[in-house]
Amino acid sequence: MLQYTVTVCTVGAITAILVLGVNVSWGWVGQIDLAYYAYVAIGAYAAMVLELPKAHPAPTTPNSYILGLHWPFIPSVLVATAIGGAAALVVGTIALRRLRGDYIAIITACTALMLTAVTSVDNHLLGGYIGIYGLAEPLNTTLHLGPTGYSYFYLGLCIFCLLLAYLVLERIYKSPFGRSLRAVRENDTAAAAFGRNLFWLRLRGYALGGAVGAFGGALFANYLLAWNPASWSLTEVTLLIAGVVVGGQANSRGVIIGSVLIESALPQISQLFPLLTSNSTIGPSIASILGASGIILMLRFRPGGLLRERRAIDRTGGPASLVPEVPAVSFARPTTATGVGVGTSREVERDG
Amino acid sequence: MLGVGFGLVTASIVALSTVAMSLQFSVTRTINFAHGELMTVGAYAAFLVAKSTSDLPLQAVAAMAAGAALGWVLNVALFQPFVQRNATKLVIFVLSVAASFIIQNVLQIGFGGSYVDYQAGSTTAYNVGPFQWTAMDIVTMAVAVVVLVALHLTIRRTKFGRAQRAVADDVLLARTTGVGAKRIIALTWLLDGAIAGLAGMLLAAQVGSFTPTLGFGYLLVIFSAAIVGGIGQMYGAMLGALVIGLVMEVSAVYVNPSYKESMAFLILVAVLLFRPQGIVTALSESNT
Repeated sequence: MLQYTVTVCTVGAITAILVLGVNVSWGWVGQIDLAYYAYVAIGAYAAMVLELPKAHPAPTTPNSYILGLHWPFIPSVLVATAIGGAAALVVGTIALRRLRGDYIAIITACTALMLTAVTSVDNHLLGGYIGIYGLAEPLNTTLHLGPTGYSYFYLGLCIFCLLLAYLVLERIYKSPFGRSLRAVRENDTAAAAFGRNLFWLRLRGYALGGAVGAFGGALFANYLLAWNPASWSLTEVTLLIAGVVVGGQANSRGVIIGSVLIESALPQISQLFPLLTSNSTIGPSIASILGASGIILMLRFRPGGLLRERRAIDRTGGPASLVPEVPAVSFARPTTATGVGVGTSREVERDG
Repeated sequence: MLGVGFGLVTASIVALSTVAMSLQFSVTRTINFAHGELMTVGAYAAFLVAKSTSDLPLQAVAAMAAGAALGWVLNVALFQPFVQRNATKLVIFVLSVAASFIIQNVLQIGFGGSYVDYQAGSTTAYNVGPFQWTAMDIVTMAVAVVVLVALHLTIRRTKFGRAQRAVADDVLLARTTGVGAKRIIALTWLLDGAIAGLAGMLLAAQVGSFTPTLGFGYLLVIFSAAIVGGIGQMYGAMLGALVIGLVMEVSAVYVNPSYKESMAFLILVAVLLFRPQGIVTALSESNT
């Protein structure tokens, strides 16, 4: 039971890191990014091929992988994080330059599916469908811990990384860069009028999200010790999005709570159902249905999420918005809405 | 040349589904990520009817009815309440993805996750010029042509079509001139669902066996075709479907068929980079 709790907590901590990254591109930048799990996978694959020794494909299993540098754990994770950020930079350059909203969703989804196709089909790049496996437990060559001790150690490591990611991201959120990003999200025309380079701001935010995803992915791969194309799909990214929606967009603590709820509570629910029926596939399906219904109900009745984003408040008592409302062209964000997470009207109400 | 022949069949199916989605998008201005599920329920409805009768028109009617019913439910139960509250696109997007998940999993509970076999029409092959098609291929292309022509006539010649175009141009203006926008939108969803359901049945007949993810797996191909043609442009959607269908099947002759869909996405990326408004926008602008 204790061991089970440790497993749930470790996966929960890694999920929380992943959802913090999703929150950057969805919550801060306000873009619909469906390629997010590709960055997680890139981080995972990158960390593995850096840490593993050179591939020796057996004649029976012709699958192999590139690199195989046999690097230590920490530099591998750092480089994997950088690679994820760089990949997001490339995709973002294509997706964010001229496109908005729905188009970004579609092109990022296509990117992710193309990468899945390439990694699955090519047996010599990253192990094809079978994937990569056989990673040794990181750092345990020096620590020499038993299986139980090691699981505690890795849980501690993941929680440490989560805290690190949380603090760094909170710092960035409050920095001038974070403020500019939110200004772009709320009213990009006004932000552009005040001299902000929209594309460059969005791109940096997007790359930051990708880097956080790759960081989480590297940790995840080092926990699972294996990775294959089936480990990442639109399903996973949807669950993370659900975490963001349920927890409260752009609120780091909110999204962590949301993701832990979604990722830990749903599997528990799904385990209950096989007891009720003999059909074993019904459990996960019912869990997915409940999760998706939860998202819809949440959007309907509590659109800001469990913990809402703390809004900047004008303490001088002046009119909150001197900038006239500019009707956005395609990614329309109605300012008369009753509040759907990203409207400027709430600020006015609060100050009014 | 065989690839081109298969491409025309694929393009017919993609065209039906894409035109349905484009019509729904241009009238309601909401992107529906659960569009693939309209196809899937159509396929399952045809599959159920095929158990008791091999009559193709009956199966097609069932597919269209199922798709239309789902389209109507999506509109009434899901999209309308949120559209009326002025939800952002981000919210609508998450909403339709959630809907897609629910439908897929309901189907999974109902039919199981494994492949079900669906055989429709004759598989006798005919050589038509340089192409080789089965009887079902020819039926598929004929159905697509008939439906698209009928749709064209509906939109251009009927009162309903004129009202649809009015709502697509400007909902408020349409309302003030006495067009029942709500009813038009509901009817558009019905039409969208019916055509998509039919496309789903034809797709199922093409692939022979399918799972609850049939339509979802095809969704991005549909989006690619819609965007390549210029989103919301019905005639562009047909052209986009033709391009995407041909590229997918012809490329499968030269490279690994697993890259079929990636090829469609590459075309999409190229179009978005160099001509983000789609290939036929300019043409239709000069028309109106």
